[in-house]
Amino acid sequence: MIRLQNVTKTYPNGTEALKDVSLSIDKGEFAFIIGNSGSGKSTLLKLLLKETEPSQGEIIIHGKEVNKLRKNRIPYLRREMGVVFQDFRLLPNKTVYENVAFAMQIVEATPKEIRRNVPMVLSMVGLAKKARVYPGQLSGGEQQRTALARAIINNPPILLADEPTGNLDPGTSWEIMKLLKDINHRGTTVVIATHEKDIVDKMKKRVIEIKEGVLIRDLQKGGYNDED
Amino acid sequence: MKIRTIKYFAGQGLRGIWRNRLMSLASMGTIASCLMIVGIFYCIAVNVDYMLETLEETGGITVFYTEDVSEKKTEALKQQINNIEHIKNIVYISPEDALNKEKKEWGEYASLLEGLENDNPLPPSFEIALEDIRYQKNVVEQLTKIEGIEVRYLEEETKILIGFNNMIRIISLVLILVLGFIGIMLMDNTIRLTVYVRKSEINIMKYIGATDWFIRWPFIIEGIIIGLIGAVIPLGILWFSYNFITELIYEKNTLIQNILSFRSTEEIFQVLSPVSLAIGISIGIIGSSISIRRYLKA
Repeated sequence: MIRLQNVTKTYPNGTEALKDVSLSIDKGEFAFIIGNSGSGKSTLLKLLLKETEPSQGEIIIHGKEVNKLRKNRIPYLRREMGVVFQDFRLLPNKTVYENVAFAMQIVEATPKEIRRNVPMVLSMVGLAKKARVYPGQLSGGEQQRTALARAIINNPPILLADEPTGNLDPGTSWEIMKLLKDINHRGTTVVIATHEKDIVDKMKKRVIEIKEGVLIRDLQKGGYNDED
Repeated sequence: MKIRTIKYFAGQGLRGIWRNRLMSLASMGTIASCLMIVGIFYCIAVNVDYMLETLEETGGITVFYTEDVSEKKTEALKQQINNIEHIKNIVYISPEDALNKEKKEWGEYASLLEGLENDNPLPPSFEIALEDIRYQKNVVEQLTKIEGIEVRYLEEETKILIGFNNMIRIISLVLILVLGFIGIMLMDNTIRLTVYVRKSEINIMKYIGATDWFIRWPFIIEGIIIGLIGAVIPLGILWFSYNFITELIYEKNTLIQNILSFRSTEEIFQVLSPVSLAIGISIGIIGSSISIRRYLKA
């Protein structure tokens, strides 16, 4: 599903964010990408979203070579991937319902589909009762659940999450993790970049660790530190 | 593109105009004043052209006999004049014709001319129509070589009209370019504000997988609407003032109607309306495209 082959990314200012990284994540997997801030995690996600180009190596998503993708095909690549960010990135002047429906408008879904799917996804993330509320009136956890609903509304095969629990308290973080696990159970490939030790240790999922741009560990059912 | 998507774009475009209404108003005003000037100069240029055309047709040149001539000689003279290049046609005006024409032009004062029929002071003449008023000088030169006639023509008037016409063309071209440029700059700024306000929204749209055109359309529609309104306002003002002014001139100066004739309002606006709308819309589209391009590049 996702494959990186000898990917190196050097920024114009000379910073080497990723050095010769090769990895592959299969369909339906649940993987953590861990590392301190500045380790190259974010660069990795940016490469997957084709926000930035690799200096060397190739990236293959869903059988398509991302580096060879023409610029006007990028939106269609992004439709294959739902994205969730640490800062939620919701539109403040739209309600929860409208924020989620917006993602369907963009792919030109019919009003009928929108009316059917949005409530379904909102009840799945437990926000059915908050549909008419604006993001400003929601708690952090509720905002992130809205963002999750928006990320999966179009049924993308891949879900990318960049520090999804970074702004949340531990209790709320677990709710979000549970939701991500549910989404994974439905067959979506989930990739989470995080540096939260507790969560990674307890989830016992695949762990890919990056340190100073180098992939130093790739373990199935790993923990944050596996020195033992 | 689906209809509901178009509706969404239009809604977003209108919202954008309302959201920074001051800047929208400023760009509408610039486009309106640009097109107002275009319109005014067009009205003047068209009418000067029209007057020149009228001059061409009514001859601009009249040839009088300086001595009595027989009818036979008249034919020969006509033939001789006809040989000169760039003459469209020649009309012989007998003294009786000339008097009738004068009477007509004098209108209500025609009674003053009564009694002249038996002692007609007006000489027979030829009225010469030209292919183009610009050949006037050449033709006059040739005519003065012919003996026994006197050439009269509206030399000064023609010169002034031609000069005026050229000046108006140059001034309007410069003004259109300058104001058009200012219009595009202001439009670019206006749309850039909307884009800035919607920056995070555009960013999110990109992540969700919105195509560039999906992001672009609302801003282009915003530009088109501003351009359209900016074009309609001066058209409306010009329509009413043109009607008003031409009627006023006709009313006050029945005597000069033959010289001062204006194109009808309908004739003017048949050309001016589509041109103004096209310019307004183009300024809108160009301005908004420039500002949105910068954001889509990133």
